[in-house]
Parts: sequence; structure tokens; C-alpha cells
Amino acid sequence: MAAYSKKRGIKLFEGFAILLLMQSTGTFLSNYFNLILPGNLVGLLLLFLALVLKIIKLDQVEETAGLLLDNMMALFIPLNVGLITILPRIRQEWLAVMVSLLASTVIVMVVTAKVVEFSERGRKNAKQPS
Amino acid sequence: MLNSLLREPLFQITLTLVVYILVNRLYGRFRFFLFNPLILATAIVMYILWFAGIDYAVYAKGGDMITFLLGPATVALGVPLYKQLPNIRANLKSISVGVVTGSITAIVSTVFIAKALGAGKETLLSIAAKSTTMPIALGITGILGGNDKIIVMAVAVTGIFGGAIGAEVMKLAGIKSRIAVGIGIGTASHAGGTSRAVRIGETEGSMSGAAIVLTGLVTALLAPYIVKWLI
Repeated sequence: MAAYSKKRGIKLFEGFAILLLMQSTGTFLSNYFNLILPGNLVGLLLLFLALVLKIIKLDQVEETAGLLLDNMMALFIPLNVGLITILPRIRQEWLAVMVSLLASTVIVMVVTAKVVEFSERGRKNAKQPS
Repeated sequence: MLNSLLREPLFQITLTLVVYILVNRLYGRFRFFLFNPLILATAIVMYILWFAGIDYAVYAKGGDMITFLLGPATVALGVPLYKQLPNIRANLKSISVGVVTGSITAIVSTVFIAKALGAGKETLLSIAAKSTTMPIALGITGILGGNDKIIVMAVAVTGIFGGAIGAEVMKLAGIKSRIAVGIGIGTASHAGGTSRAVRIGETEGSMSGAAIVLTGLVTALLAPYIVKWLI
């Protein structure tokens, strides 16, 4: 990792402004057109599109994105602490929730992998005669 | 004076960040799948709040400022999606087939099983997006009208579980394709599972990583319709 420079510090800050700009635009579009995607996700797609179209260079946002994404767990602590406020309400349901989460995770893994494997096999077989 | 200081958002934010950094350092030293930094840090913060006699409502004043950063963090997921683009293009068919199948299976199986076991409507809406990465899951749950705290817990549990058993499940199911193993783990259990897929092999890790954001987007597009139909 490069040493700190004033330029880098400014870039990190600009990257943050770019992310907020995308989020704001995304939220506006989502609300204005009543989109099914939440504003943050529209913002994600706008950033992706801006990167693909080279309107924004990867270098402009990469480090700020890393700063947030690599410390994402910290950002979830307050919401997770808030779980304590709804514990009484989910007391009767937590077992159903846990069983559902665990079973579904296994089901999704197996079904997804099987389907992908099947589609690969189909492609190979289709290629064989030619 | 100390008592009023403890009630300042400044203290709540400092507490959260310091606990996170300490837990994360500890995690770097002792890597163990059940030892999840988010859950341990949450437990420590809860304990300190309880010990200091601070209500959640007071804590949330500072906490909300941290939660605000989840917005730009969600947008930031555009960066890994962009970096994965060559990888996604090279395996477009496998990834799209896997992600769409997996996202639908995830929504339907989660809601169906929990409903069969007697979970209420609000809870069902709060866990439908459990296979997507956390910031996206939070956005989807907002649209569905579920509870933000339940989905954060559900996503964390899914990630820990996927990371713990992903490799074994794939072996038991007899999946041989490395691409299929990666997409399966990433679609089912986002970054939590991917941390394990990376250790199975390079192909598994990169495929799992490529599936994360796409699963989030596909689930966001489909969940409102599927959930309406299931509940």
C-alpha cells in the first residue's frame, strides 16, 4: 500500500462524495419512478454503469469503497444490538426462523450447484457430436 | 458528569468502533468459524450498555450515525461487481443460471419452511432476503416491510452457517464442478460462505464472490413478487 499523501487523502474524501452522489441520485430515481429496487441498489447500479462507461475511473472510488466494505461488520453492530428490543416479540418464532435459515441455506447450495453442474454437462454433451 | 457523557452519541460511536477494532484484531489472531466478529462485538456492546444502564434508544442516537454509512457502503458494492466483470463474462451462462435458480430457491424455501413452522407474517418478510449480502438484504427488507434487526441477524446466521458447512455439503451432494461449488456457496451464503469457498480453491472462491452482488440484485427484483405470492 502506498504511503499517505495529501493527494491520496483528498481522493479518499472525493470517493466518499461520489458514493453519496450515486446514493442520492439512486434514491431520487427509485422514489420518482416508483422503482422496485431500493435507492441504494439503484445507486449501486449507477456506480457500476459509471465505471463501465468510464465516466468514473476505478481509481477514484476504489479505496473509499474498500474502506467501507472491508469494515462492513462495524456498520452492522448498532442494528444487531437493536435485536434486543424485539427479542420478546420473536421469542416464540426463533426456532422456526433458525430451522428455516439453516435448512434453506443447505437447500439453496445443493439446488444451485446441481443446476449449474447440469447446465455445464448439457453444454458439453451438445458440443460432443459436432 | 460521567453519566451524561455516557449518553452522548460521541460515546456510543466510540464504544462501537473500539469494540469492533478489538474484536477484529482478536479474530485476525484466532481464526475460527464460529467466532464471528459481528456477533461477538454485538454481545460485548450489549453487555456494556446493560452494565452502564444505557437504553437502546439512547444508544441508537449514536448508532444511527454508523448505520447511515451502510447507504454509501451498499453503493460501494458496485466496485467489486465491476472488478468481477471479466470473471462473470467468462462464465456468464453458469453464473446466470445459478444465481437466478438460487435466488428463487432461497426466497421460496426460507419463507415456506418458516411459515410451515408457524412464523408470523412480519417475521417471514424479515427473513426472505437472508441469502443476500447484508446491505442489500437490508434494502430489500425495507421494501418488503420487514424488520431491519431480524434481517441483519438472519443474514449473519446464514453466512456463518454457509461458511461452516459449505464445503461438506458440496462433498456430500457429490458436486464435482468447481464452478458449481463456488456459485452454490456464494448464492446461498454471500460473503460468509465465500470466506470458506476461497479456502477450497481459487475457482471456488472467485465464483462464489462473483455470485454475491448478483444474487442481491436478482433477489431484489424477484422477492417482492414471490413473497406476495407465498404469504
